[in-house]
Amino acid sequence: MGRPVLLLAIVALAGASLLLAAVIVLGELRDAYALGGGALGGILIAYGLIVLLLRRLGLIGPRGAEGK
Amino acid sequence: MKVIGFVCDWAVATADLVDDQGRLRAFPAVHVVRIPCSGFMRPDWLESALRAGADGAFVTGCPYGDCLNREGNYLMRDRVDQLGRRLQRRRIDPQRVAMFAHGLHDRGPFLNEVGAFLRRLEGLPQAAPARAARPAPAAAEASE
Amino acid sequence: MYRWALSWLLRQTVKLDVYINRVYPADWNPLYYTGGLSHFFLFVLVISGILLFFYYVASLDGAYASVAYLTDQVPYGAILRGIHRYAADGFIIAVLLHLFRNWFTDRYLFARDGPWISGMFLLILGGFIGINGYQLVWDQRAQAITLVFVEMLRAVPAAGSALVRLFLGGAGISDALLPRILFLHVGTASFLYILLWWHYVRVRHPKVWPPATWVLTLLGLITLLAALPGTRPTAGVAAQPAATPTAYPLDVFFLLPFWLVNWLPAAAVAGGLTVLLLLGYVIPYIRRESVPQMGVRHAGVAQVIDGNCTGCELCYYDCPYNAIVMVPSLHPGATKAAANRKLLAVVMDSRCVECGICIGACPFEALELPKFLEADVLRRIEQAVAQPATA
Repeated sequence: MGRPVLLLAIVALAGASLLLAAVIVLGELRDAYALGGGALGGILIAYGLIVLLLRRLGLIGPRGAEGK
Repeated sequence: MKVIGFVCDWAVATADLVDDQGRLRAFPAVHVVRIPCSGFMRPDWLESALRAGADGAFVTGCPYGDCLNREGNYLMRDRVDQLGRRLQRRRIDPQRVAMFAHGLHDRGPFLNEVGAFLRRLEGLPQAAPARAARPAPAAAEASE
Repeated sequence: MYRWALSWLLRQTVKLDVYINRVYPADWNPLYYTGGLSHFFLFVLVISGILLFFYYVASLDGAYASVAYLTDQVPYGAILRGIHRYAADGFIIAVLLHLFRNWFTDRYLFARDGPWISGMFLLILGGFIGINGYQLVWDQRAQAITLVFVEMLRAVPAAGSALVRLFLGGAGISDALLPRILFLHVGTASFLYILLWWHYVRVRHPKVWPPATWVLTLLGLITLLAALPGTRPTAGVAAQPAATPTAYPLDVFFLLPFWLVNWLPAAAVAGGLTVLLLLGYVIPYIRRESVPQMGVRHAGVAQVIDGNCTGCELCYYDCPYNAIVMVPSLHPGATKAAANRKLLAVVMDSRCVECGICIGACPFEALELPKFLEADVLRRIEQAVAQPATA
C-alpha cells in the first residue's frame, strides 16, 4: 500500500472517530445509551486500525527494519 | 565464496532444501547447520566462522514473536548487532554476519533473503583473510 | 497415529501464520499472543464484573429484578452486561486457541509441563465460573441449568448427596443458593490469579498483554456487540419457583455440557467431561517424537563449567524459563575466574528445556550442552569451510 493511501486512511479513520464521539454525546442527550455504546465500540476499533496503519507506515515499531 | 548458515531447528524447514552434504541446492556456497535455538549461537562462533575462511555467516530463527523458546530470536538479534560493532573495531566488515527470521513454511522468503545476503557479500572488498590465532594488532594480508 | 496427527497439526497451525503475517507484522500476529489475549479478556471480565457486582442482589426474588434494573434503568448498564458477556466468550475462545496452539507446536514438553498442568486447571475453573455467571441471572435458563448441575453433582460417587446439600445450602432451592453461587463465581475468579502465578512462575517476561492494536480492536468489538440490536444481551423470563423449565437459548461457549443432557443422562455427561479433562492432563507426557528423533532439540540439559564461571549473571538474565539461579560462590576455586567471583550460576535441571540460549549468552565459555559442545560447533564450521563449494 502506498504511503499517501495509508495517510489518507489514517486521516479518514481519525475523522470517523470524531464523528462517533459526537454520536456518543448525541446518545446521552437522547437517553439512547446503546447508541453511545456502539459508537464507543466503533471508536476503539478505529483506533486499533490507526495503530496498525501507523506500524505499516514505519512510524511506530521496533527499529523499522524487521517488521514486515 | 563460502557461507555458513546456522538455522534453528524450529525455524524454516530446510530438510528438502539441502543436499546430503548440507549445502543449499539453490546456493551451493551456503552450508546449513541446524541448532536447537537461534539463541544458542555464541557470537564468537560467527566470528570464528569468518576467521576460519568463510566469507559470511548468518543465523536464522523463528519469526519474531513465535520463538519456541519465547525470546531466543530477539536475544540473538541483539547479539548479532553487538557483534557487528565488535567486528567493526577489528576491521571486519559487519555486513558479513546477519540475523534472519523465518517460520516453518517460509522457504521462499528465506531463500530470497539468503540470495540477497550472498549478493551483498559479492559486492564487498576482499574476503577477510584467515588468521592463525588471536591476532596482534594489524595482521598482515595473508593469501587465501 | 497420535504422533503423525500431531506433526500434521503442527505444520497446519504454523501454516496459518503465513497468511496472518501477510496482513499483520509478525510480532503483532494475534496467534503469538493467545495467552495475552486470555489475560486481557480476564482483565476486562474482572473490571466489568466488579461494576456489575455493585448492582447485583443475591436473593431468589431480587436477582432477576436487579439485573433488569441494571439493563434498563442504568445508563450504559446494558453495555456493561454485554461487555461482561462477550469478554467471557472471548476468554474461552482465547484460552482454547492458547491450548491448541501450544499443544500442536510442542510447547508443553519436558520442563514446560508446569504451565500446561496449571493451564488445565485454569481451563476447568474458567468454564465453571462461566456457568456460574449464567446461574446468577436467575432466569428460566439459570434455573434449568442449576437443576441439571445438581443432577451432575448427585452423580459423584460417594459424596454426591453431600455435595448437593453443600451447593444448595439445604434440601432444595432457597435463598441460600444465590449467595453461594456468587461466592463460587467471584471467589473462584480470585483464585484464578493464584493459579496464574503458577502458570507464569517458570516463564520470564510472560506476554500478558497483546499488542495495542489488538487490545483496542477487541475491546471495541465487544463493546460494539454489546450495543448492536441483534447481539445485545437479554435475559429470558424470570424463574418461577415451582416450574421446571426445559427449553432455553443455548450459549455455545459455556453451556455445551447442558446441551448434551438432551440425549445423555447428566451423570454420563459429567463422567465424559471428567475423562476428557484427565486425558488433557496426560498430554505433556506423550511426545510426538521419540527422543533420538528430536536431534539437536534434545541436546541435554545445560551444564555449567564451574572453572570458567565468573558470576556475570548474563545467562541468568537470558534464560526464558528462569532455570538458572545465581548462588553465592563461597569457596575460592582453583581457576582465576573461580577465585575472583562472588556468584556462581547453577542450572536447575527440572526447569531446563535444553534450548541453549544460556550457551549463547555466556562470554566465558562456562556453559555447554552435553550433546552439542562448542567443540562440535567449531568442528562443523571447519567441515563446512573445508568442503568444496560445488558438488
